[in-house]
Amino acid sequence: MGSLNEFAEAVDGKDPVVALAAVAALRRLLEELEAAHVIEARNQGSSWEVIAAALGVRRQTAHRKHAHRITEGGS
Amino acid sequence: MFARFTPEARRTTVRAGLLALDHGRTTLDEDMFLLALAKSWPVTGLTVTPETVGAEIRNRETARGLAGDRALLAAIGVDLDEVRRRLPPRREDPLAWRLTRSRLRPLNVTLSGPAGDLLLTARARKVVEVALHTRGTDSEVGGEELLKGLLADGSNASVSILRGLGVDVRGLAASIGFLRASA
Repeated sequence: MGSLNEFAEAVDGKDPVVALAAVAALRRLLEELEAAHVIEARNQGSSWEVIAAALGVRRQTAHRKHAHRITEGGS
Repeated sequence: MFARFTPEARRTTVRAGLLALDHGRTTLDEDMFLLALAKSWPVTGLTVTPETVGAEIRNRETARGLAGDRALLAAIGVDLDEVRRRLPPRREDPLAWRLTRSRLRPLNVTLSGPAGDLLLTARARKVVEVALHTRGTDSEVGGEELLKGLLADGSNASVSILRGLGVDVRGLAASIGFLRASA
C-alpha cells in the first residue's frame, strides 16, 4: 500500500471531493481485505475469539459481521 | 439459490460480483452480468469481446463522473491489483460464495463471499429471477438463462450496450428461444 504521507497529501489536496472519493475507495478495499482474511482464518481453524481480538472488536461483532459468508460447499 | 444453478452459471455470477468490485461498485448490477457472460458466451455466433463490453461500461461510468476505485487508489499510492494479488486464492472460488434472499426483506438478494457482500440491484435481481423462471422444471439455471434474464427487459443497460456494439438483440433473443416485443 502507499505511504501515509501520500495519503495525507491527497487528503490535504486542493480537491477535497476527490480525496473523499479516494477515502471511500480505501474503505471498500479494507472491507474486502477484512472479509477475505476472516474467511481464511476460519478455514485455517481460528476461533471467533482470536479473530475478534485481532480486529479489535467483540466476538459477537465479528461473528455477526462475517459468519454468514462462511460456506460449507455453498448454497 | 446457487443450488439451482449450473457450475457455469454460478461461476458467471461470482465473476460478475468480482467485476463489480473491480469497478468500485458496492452493489451488483445487470451490466456486470453482461460483462461476466462476455468472458464466455453461452451461445455461438456472438463475437463481442469482454474488452469491448468493458470499455463501453467504463465509458458510461466516466460519463456519469465515476472514476473507479483503481484510479482513485492509485492517486493515493495504492496499487489495487497488487493488493488483490496478495489475497487468499479462495476469493475467486465460486464454491466459497453464496447467493441468498433475505427472509425479512424478500426483495433483497445478496451475493456473499470472501470479498464481502454485494446486494443485487433490482435489475440484477430480475435477471436472476427471470433465469430461475425460464429454466424449466427439473433443470438448472445456466448461462443461457442468465442471458435471457438480461434480454427480458429492453431498458436494461446490457441491451443498450449490446445494441451499441452492433449486436442484433432481437435475433439473439430469437436464437435462444426467448423473444419479446420489447427486446
